Amino acid sequence: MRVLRQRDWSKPVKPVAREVRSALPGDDRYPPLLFVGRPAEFFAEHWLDRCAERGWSAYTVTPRAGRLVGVREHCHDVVQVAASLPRQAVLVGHGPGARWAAAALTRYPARAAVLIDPPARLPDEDVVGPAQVLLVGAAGRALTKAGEHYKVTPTLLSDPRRLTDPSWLYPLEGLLDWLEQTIKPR
Amino acid sequence: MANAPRRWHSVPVDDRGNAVCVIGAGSSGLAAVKNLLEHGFAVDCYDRETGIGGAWNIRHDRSPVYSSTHLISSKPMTQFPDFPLPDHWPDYPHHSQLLAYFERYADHFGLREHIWFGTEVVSADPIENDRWRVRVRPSHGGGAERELSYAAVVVANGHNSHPRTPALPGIEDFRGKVIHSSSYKDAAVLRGKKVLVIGGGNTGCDIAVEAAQQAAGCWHSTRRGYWYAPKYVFGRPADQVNDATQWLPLRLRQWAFHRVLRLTVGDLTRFGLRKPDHKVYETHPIVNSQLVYYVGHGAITPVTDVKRFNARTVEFEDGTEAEPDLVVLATGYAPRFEFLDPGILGANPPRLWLHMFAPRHPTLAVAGLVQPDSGQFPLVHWQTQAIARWLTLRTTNPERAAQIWAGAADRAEWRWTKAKVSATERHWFEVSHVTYLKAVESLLKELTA
Repeated sequence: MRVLRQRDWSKPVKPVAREVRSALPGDDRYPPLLFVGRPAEFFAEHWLDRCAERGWSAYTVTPRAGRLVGVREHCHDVVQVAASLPRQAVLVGHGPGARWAAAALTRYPARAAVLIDPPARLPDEDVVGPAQVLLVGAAGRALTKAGEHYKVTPTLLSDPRRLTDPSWLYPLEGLLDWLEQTIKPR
Repeated sequence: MANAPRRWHSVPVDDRGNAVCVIGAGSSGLAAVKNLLEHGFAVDCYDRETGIGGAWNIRHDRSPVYSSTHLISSKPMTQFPDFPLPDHWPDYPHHSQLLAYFERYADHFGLREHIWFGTEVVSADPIENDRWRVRVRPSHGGGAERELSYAAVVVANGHNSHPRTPALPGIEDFRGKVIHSSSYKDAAVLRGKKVLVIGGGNTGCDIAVEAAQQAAGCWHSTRRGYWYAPKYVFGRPADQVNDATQWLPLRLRQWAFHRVLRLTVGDLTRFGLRKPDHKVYETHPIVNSQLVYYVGHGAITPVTDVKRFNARTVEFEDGTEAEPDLVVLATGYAPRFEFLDPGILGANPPRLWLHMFAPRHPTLAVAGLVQPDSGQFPLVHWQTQAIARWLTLRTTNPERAAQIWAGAADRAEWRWTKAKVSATERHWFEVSHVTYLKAVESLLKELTA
């Protein structure tokens, strides 16, 4: 919890244009999902479409890239998009996207969060708000540390590298199942 | 029997268990509802109006905003810390954008279903076990009164809804039109008139500038000289530049700010304005880039305090006279808590620990009764976080809560400013945002330790 944010007050992050893609179901009984990462990573169209098929609005954001860009800018981009969604969002990130989503959790009170293959280095600030966190990944030190950081038991995934194969929907079904158990529909 | 006065015990009391009652759905009330819900409380929020936004909704009959109102603090210092203002909005958004922002906040966090619109709180009285008996009734027209009991009450009714009008000798003989700035909505009322604006606060300066642009003439009467901070220095919002120097000692910052104002705005006495009788940061800042400019055009005539009104003319302390058709009293607002027994909050203005907690009532808290030298909403966000955590701790760890509460009565007289601020009623709840947030942060840490 950081109350005094002198740097954010006196040198706010410069705005940039961001591309947000989405797939929306007919009715939204659930909070929107915000997938954080590069589009190529794993949120190809059929991930989004599959979410919509199961009744979840899904959005993606790719934070800015560049030489002088740090986690502060990534965090800013994710939080800006999350706050622009109609309802309190669920953040989903994979790999670098998991690092950006984890940073955003210290600034935005997400409804829940899913971090796939979380990085070894996690933010040193607490999560704000009510978010329950689901950790998914290959067994290893990074996942164990993330489990201790968020005080949850991680879910092991046998071969997370296959996430880059967009046609493989198995982990997506799993995380949607978890969200449906965790979040009461409206 | 139909006309017999109803006594309270003939009204069925609706026991709301552990729910918290929030009074007002403006910027502070919404933050209170959101943060109490986030901590797992059931919340009933009452607002006399039919929509959210409180003071920021220009259609509300007690709204102090006028059509040209813009923020005087820039975005990063103004937004809720966990719900940023959009990147594509300007540095200093318009009041209609602020209302849209609060509408989005309410929808995003699903707050509306917890708000009873068109319902005003008649009274809130302490009953046994630190609980509260709250009486509510429809605010527009008839309808039955209801009585409910709550575990706690959060007062968020705002402090800019009751006009403060000073005693002005001879005002009853004056033939011209006199309005308070609360009923000033649009520059159309100034057109072609000779206008006297009384009051040197941000509203008075805004209206003086509009009169300079629209009226036939404008006198601006202030009690003292002020510092006029521009909205931009070095091409950046002035409050952001100022916050970059917060680590310096106060006196050095005051000196530096005086230098910057001297080099950018200039020597105010050259323009016929009085020399300020205080240093910057010692009163609520006036942020206005245009006032000095229009004084330089001769479109605003600065005058001193009013001595007396006559039928057609106004005399000032410095011996000058004016003949206005219209007088606008930009003399500010006074905090009012009509639904609370005067003894509950103590003196007026209330003496509250951290401007939030009434020493004799641990389940009563006030949100938003601060005048910071920055945007208001970050402070209110952390206030309501602290209130939610405090109420949580009272049930989860009563002993620890009692320890924290022990010194509250003595700390109710503390002030949270760095500079020595005048102790007038208007300046009582002025805070320096850094000093105040540090205090709230340490309380938050105590409550979660």
